[in-house]
Amino acid sequence: MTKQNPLKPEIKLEILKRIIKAEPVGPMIDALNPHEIIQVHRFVLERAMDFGKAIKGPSFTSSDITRYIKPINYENFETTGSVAGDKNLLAALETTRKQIDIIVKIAHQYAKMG
Amino acid sequence: MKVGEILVVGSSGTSHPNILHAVCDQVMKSDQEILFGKLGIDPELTLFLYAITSNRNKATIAWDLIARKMIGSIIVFDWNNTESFENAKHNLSLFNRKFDAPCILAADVKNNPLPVNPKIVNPFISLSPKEKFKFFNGRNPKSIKSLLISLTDVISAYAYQDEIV
Repeated sequence: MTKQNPLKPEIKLEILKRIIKAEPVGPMIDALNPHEIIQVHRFVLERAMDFGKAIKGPSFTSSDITRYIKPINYENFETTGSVAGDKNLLAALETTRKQIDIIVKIAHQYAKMG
Repeated sequence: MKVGEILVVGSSGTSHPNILHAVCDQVMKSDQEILFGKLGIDPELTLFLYAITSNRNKATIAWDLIARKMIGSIIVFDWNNTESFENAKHNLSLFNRKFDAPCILAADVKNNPLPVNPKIVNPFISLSPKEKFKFFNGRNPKSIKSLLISLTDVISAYAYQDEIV
């Protein structure tokens, strides 16, 4: 698989604003390509972890978040970089979108806690 | 003596000029509406800060001339102003494409309370190794100074990262 560009910082900034303001991320995700959607998933998960650690301290564990989401298999996508005609990968991306919504809500709750 | 150049970029109505007035020993205005400030750190190091207004619909700034030697930047926006936020995203995108210097995204909440628990933004939220997000109060000199301290920390960490890679 060829090396992918990192997620653009302006997209990260937009997502961060939406996490803090509890605005939906769905409309902006629809405009992104599959690689960017996967990177958004990673970004929001990392931020939710950061926020969880900052708020809960040593009592926080990653399972506080991962128990709400299931691992997603991108194996074929990582190899080919294409989703065309692959129903399994299209389903994985749809699951990714739904998980992003869940993680954004968790991150928002942590951000407002206290 | 060593010098370092820092760009402080905002859009119309944002508090970016306040940053120079809060931290610099001297502040002057150029004929291109650019504020220029000098901050002596010690006898061996002086920082030059440039406050520049950049609106996305008026792309008239020669960034390659102004910013090519910068060691870092602060992109200022008003947290509660959509147009200001869109300008900040535009400037962030431009800087990311053209330059490799670290950047603080500085969201001005003015005298309003922080919209998040302070613990999650202490000292900042990381977007990448060189791009950090921070809230501040553009009317509070102590809060403004914390931006510059954060930027120098990120510049040091980013330079060190380059050395060990």
